[in-house]
Amino acid sequence: MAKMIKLVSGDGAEFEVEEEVAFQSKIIKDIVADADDVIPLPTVSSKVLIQVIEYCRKHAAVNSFPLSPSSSAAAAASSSSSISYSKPVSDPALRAWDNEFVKLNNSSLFDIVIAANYLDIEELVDLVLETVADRIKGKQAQEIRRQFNIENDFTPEEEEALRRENSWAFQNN
Amino acid sequence: MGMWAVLPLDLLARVFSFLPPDSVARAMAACKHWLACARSRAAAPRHAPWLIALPARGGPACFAHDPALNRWHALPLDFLPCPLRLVAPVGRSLLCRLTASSDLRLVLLNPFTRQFRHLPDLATPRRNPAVGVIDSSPFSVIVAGGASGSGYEPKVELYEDGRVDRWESLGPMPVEFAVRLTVWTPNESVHAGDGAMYWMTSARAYSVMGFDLRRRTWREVKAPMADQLEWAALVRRPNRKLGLVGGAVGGQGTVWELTDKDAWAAVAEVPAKLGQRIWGCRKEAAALGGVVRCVGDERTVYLFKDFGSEMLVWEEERGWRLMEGRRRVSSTPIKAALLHPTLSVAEIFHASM
Repeated sequence: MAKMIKLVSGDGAEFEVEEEVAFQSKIIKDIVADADDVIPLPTVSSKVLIQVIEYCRKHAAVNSFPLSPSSSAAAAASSSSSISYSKPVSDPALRAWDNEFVKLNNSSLFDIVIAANYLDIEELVDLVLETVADRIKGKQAQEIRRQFNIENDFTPEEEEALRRENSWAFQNN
Repeated sequence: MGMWAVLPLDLLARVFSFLPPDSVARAMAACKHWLACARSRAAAPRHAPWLIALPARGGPACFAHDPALNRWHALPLDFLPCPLRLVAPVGRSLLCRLTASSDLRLVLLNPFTRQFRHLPDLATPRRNPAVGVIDSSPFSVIVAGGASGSGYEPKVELYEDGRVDRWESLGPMPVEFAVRLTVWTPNESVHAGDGAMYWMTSARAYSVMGFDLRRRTWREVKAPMADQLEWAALVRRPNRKLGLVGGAVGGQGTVWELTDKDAWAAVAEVPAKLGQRIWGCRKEAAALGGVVRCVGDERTVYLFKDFGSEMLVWEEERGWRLMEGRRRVSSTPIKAALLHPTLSVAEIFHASM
């Protein structure tokens, strides 16, 4: 019988999860080590906690039971290379699952990354941040502001100075 | 809402680390918080490096190639008081030398932020020495050989950034090595995991020289196919091994790696059809003349003839692919390096002391 950990969201809802699922969060792993099986998470809402648990459940399953010898070999190979420019392609099916998981609006992504950062779930933080980067790539400043609801706090002069400074990036050659 | 405008700096810096420099440049203009973050933080890069090329005799601009969009950008260099020539990438910046000075005078440059800084003058002034970069944090530079009025300078000096603002002598070196490194000034250096700085001289046959930084000893390693190579370049390989990319014009191209037993192991071969696109078939190549240029780092190797023309790119996982040529970027001789550009204002540009 798997050991269960109880997570309590900011709005008081309780979620029982298997230890290996909860341990995707380094913070929780450390807290439980001090013999505490009920973890209050006052800054995380139920809605976000459910999504985070879903991610952790998927990744705990994959980490314990690699789908195939080739995927674990690939994972070992990618972790031995010194620099990784993108997510390791250790498991294409997991990658596909991750890509579906982050098909959320920017508001949800924001909540998830803040929670994942607080809970120290490194891979989830990276996943969301890379998704955000993909939504920024190639866009002009005005489009970025629209996408992410950012107010332009530059004066027209400041904005013009910035465009001049990095003019090479604002040209279409 | 506007929460993204106040995303914690370390998280925002990580978002930027996934972005190539042109996207960072545009994202910086979104709001002041994002500008401050991009200017102050440079997280470890998670995008492919860019090829940066400086005209050999200086000029109003340098060129940066975006591998994702296969697009060249011209970055102005008009802020520089004197023209610079590229020596080597160091960290997220470029080590350059003053074009107008025959004695070596080094300058650190980031063309993306327009920051530059002169390094102190060498202890022993000299022309055309070999320059090696130790790309740690802080970085160090080694200079070996070179010539002065009185002949060759068989001496090695070291500059350690941020420690003291001068070059320190690492002692003498064999005269023969000094002569060869001066007459055939190497294009690149590789600081390998065995603690040695490697340079290559292109006198037939190609020869690789290694300077052990701890023991301060020199050794020579024959290049693979040494007397057949018509073009070659040293590159860093993963696990800090020494790599060599080279070939005979009209023939094959190969990526080699120096093993622990001082033998060269072939790691990859250029597919013949792709190679021919770059260096042509034997007859053509001899007629055209010209050298195959090679620039690489641990993950990527570029092979090409001219800037803006077709390029052959090799990445260990992806294999070989051709990148379509753009209009001729520049007809003047140019030197290039692979760099992870940064738009943040780096501390290394503030002179020590």
